[in-house]
Amino acid sequence: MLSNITIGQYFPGNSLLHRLDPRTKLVVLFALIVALFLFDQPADYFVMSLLTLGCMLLSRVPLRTLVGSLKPLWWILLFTFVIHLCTTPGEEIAQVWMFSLTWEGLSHGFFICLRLVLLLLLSSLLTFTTSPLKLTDALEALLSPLKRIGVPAHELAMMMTIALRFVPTLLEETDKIMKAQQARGADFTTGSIARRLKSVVPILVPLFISAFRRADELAMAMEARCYHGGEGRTQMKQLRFVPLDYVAWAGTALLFALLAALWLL
Amino acid sequence: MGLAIELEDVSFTYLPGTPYERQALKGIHLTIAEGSITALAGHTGSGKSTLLQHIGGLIHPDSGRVCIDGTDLAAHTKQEKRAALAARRKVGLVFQYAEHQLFEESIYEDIAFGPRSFGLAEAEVAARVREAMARVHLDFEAYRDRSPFQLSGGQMRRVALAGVLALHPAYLVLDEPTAGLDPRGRRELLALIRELHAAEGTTIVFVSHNMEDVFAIADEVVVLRQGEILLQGAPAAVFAERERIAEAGLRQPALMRLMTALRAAGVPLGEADAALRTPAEAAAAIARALRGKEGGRHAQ
Repeated sequence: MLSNITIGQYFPGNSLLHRLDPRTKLVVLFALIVALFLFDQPADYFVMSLLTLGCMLLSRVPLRTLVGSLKPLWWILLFTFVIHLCTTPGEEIAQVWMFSLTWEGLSHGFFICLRLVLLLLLSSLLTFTTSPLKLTDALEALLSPLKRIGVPAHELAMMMTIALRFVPTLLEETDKIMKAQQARGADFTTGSIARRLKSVVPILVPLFISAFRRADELAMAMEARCYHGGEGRTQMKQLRFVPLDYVAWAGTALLFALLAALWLL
Repeated sequence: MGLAIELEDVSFTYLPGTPYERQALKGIHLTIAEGSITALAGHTGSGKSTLLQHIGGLIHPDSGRVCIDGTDLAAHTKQEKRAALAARRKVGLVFQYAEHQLFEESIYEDIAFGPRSFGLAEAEVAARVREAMARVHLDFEAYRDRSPFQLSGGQMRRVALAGVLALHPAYLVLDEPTAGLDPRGRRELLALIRELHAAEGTTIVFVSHNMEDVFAIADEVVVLRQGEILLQGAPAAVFAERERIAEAGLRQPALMRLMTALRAAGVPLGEADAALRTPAEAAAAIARALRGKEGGRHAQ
């Protein structure tokens, strides 16, 4: 029932993208997003689309799963496209009611949608190929220079790790409670909105109770193992850059140069 | 005895098409007779809970059919849906750690949740709550307004059980009913299940990986391994197959192991004595055997 939520789910594997250092992946993703917004020539979009497609193939994640992560975006895409189509001034194609559809709107809408799709695909590629644990390790490593100005990098990363760790657990718990209440005759899918909202109470109360119980147990277990924050803490799996990472950096720098050249031409 | 619950060639796979894909049930054929106490036994991950949820109609098989009194639980047309819902409501499903589903402010309100969802009138709801509480041995006047969260683990589980009993199920299906209870809570709950069966003739299906529980109350055992039925039959016959039981990651009940060991050590017990299910019966058999042996020695 709730098991078909794929966005941000790790897809185990051993592809080139899986083996890249998570810090590299985060920084490169950030750079690519900046590039997406900076360079808006058709040629740039073409290069970025090719790159995204290449990364998708490299990741060995089934294309269907990747494209499936676009599902939540579908309505936003349609809405964005229609708005651009109707409101961009230019050479008119047709008149619909009070809006005039233009060629400029058509191309503008298309490229904006393409930008959103690429943005989401690239971000999904990161979460599909990087386990949540590695991702938070990378965040901690990248944020650690900011510790000097008082940013609690370790605590932030730990909070994220715990939150991510408990997403599947809580989903499973929700599924179980829903089934248990359904077995007692609860109905979550029919009736007025007020009735449906009320029908959430038998799920939320047990869910909150179990979440607090789990939090309590986790805190106890962490203290029993002498957890006291990030001070002097070492990691079992140290992040280490490999030649592949240097290749990725160099590739990103080259890409930037190429995109900038195409943009200026 | 009629055929109450029928599973025909039931297969089910979790998360198909992902790396987390796992086939939980593989072509299960199973018939559960009306009025029986059937235990589904198996190691963790053998598919027993999945099977139970199929019987409760909460998940539907990828292929095959699950029928309650001849009605398929998976409905396609609108007409079938009504029949399927009626069939599903004959099954009372008690989940593992059932006390985790409690949510109301008072015990009365929590038990009343089910009957109210079924659309019963308030007078009928009150009668059902009173009756269900009596059946799980909770005093109506003393407990009705107390919060379910102030009770002990065993009591909370009894409240959750009452919440299902108030629906008057013809088939009571329980997932690990004694998991996580202290010895007293466990004993009380097993006694309760036996009482329900004796008093109402309710058909009972329960999942357990505790062979003591299975041996104590079941009259039919189904042993599952990796989504397939490995053994099925009366407890004494099933548990006598020591090697195949071990194959499923299970052990014979302690009493049976003791009787077998005594026989191996030379106590003249009959083969049938290994199937005795209560300590009292076993003690009587051992005493008889020892007396017989001593008698023999005196005669020399």
